[in-house]
Amino acid sequence: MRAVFSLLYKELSYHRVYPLDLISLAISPFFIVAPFVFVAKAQNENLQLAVALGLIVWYWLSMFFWGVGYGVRDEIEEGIIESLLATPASIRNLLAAKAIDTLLINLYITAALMILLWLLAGIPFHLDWAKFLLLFIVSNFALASLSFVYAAFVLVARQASFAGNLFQEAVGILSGMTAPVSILPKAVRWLSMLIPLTYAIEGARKVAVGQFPYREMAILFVFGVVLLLLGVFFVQKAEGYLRLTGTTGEY
Amino acid sequence: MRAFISLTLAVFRNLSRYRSEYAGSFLGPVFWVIPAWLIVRYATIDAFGVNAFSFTAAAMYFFIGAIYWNYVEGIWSIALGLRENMRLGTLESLWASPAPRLSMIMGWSTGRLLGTTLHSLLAFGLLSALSMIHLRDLSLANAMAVVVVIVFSVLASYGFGFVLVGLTLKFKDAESIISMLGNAAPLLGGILFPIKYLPAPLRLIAYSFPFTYGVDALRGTLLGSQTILPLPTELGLIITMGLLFPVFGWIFFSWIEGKARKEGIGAF
Repeated sequence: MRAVFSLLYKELSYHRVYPLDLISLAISPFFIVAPFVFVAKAQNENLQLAVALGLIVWYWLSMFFWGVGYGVRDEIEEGIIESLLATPASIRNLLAAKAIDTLLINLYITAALMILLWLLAGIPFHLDWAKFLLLFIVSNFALASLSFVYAAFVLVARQASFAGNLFQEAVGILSGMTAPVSILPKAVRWLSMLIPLTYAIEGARKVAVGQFPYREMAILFVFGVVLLLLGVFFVQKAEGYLRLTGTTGEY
Repeated sequence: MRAFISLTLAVFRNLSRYRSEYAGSFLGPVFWVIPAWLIVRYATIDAFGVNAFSFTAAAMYFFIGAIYWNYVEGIWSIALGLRENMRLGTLESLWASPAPRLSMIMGWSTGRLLGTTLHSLLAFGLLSALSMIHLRDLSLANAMAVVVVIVFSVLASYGFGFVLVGLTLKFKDAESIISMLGNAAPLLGGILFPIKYLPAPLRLIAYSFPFTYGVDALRGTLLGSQTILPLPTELGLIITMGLLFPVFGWIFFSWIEGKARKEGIGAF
């Protein structure tokens, strides 16, 4: 556990050294989300909140994918993965630290996004904040677990940004990021049901209409547990593969 | 010229070495178009001022915005290429070589522009195959207007690119600035929606953002949508930008580069 906290301290120190990154993290997501929110505004103002929530939740996945899953490449590119592997700490510790850091960043980004969307796009986020926070925690748990599986893939495949981009964007579309899953062709709708993000987005939209997303949270929790077990297993295997083949420096 | 050719080839060698990384970028425009199109599909209300508005016209509206932005961003990303060289520790040796700076920058960007053209065509092919978009009959005059908009927008974009390269030399975490500017531009340039829907303060910035008129003129020409200014005025504005921006950008870059040579560029 001490290793996780030390690595988390390293991740947090990065934000102190590069303060412009923190400003960018507060502002950049708005610029990515807002064009779609304004498309919704141009169509029908009532759609804005649903689209905004879908994109905010999708952004959580994006942060986990690049911060945790692909984030493991930072250490590889910087040439410190070998030193890390030489210590008793494992890559799982590193991923856990990155996941906690990303969870905090997601909280920060969500707050910044909601404030900016309220100020600049006039979206009133009249949410039950306790319900939303609960959904945030369960969703982030499921998405972090998914990013562990992707991290294992990154460690073995090395050139994995294509797969990451494709997966993240395709998952966004399939999970109803900008419009409900119900308008997707029937042939792909079953895929949506297999993606945890679908339930996180549905849950957020339920909170927006005053409902408690019990069902979505339960499904997300199950996804989280299963994916975490799978992720830890695959990362362990990938770490063993790295140690065996000596490919830590290749990317 | 030799430096330009060598660096262009280096970009292609990089692309061939990391093929899977590049393969993903052709899906970039697709992932702008589909999520926006799904909103339209869900709402099914005309708000874009395009004649005979349909789902196809909406998809084409988004596609033109996404492709236009891809070209602009492709040139801006030369600053990220410079940053990558800084990170890998190869910039100093490159900078110490007798190769002209302009050749270097043009070499980095030419490869990217050709790459952007290729993946724009691939994205067009994919979306056409899905029957989401189609190109209307294009007259010679309109085709000329499209060429003028693209060529002068690319030139204007070089002006911005030079400034961003200068900023990268100046600031240790220039990636954040570039990323913020890069992310803000599609919103302010109305890449996916008419800028009249922006709130007043952002609309003001959007009107002073040059590429807003580029994408607007392109849509006016290809889709017959209503433009912000009369089309000839927008074309004149884009030509002026294309001629002036590179000059101002180069002056800024040369000034920063002179300072960097004296003060060093290693702090990042």
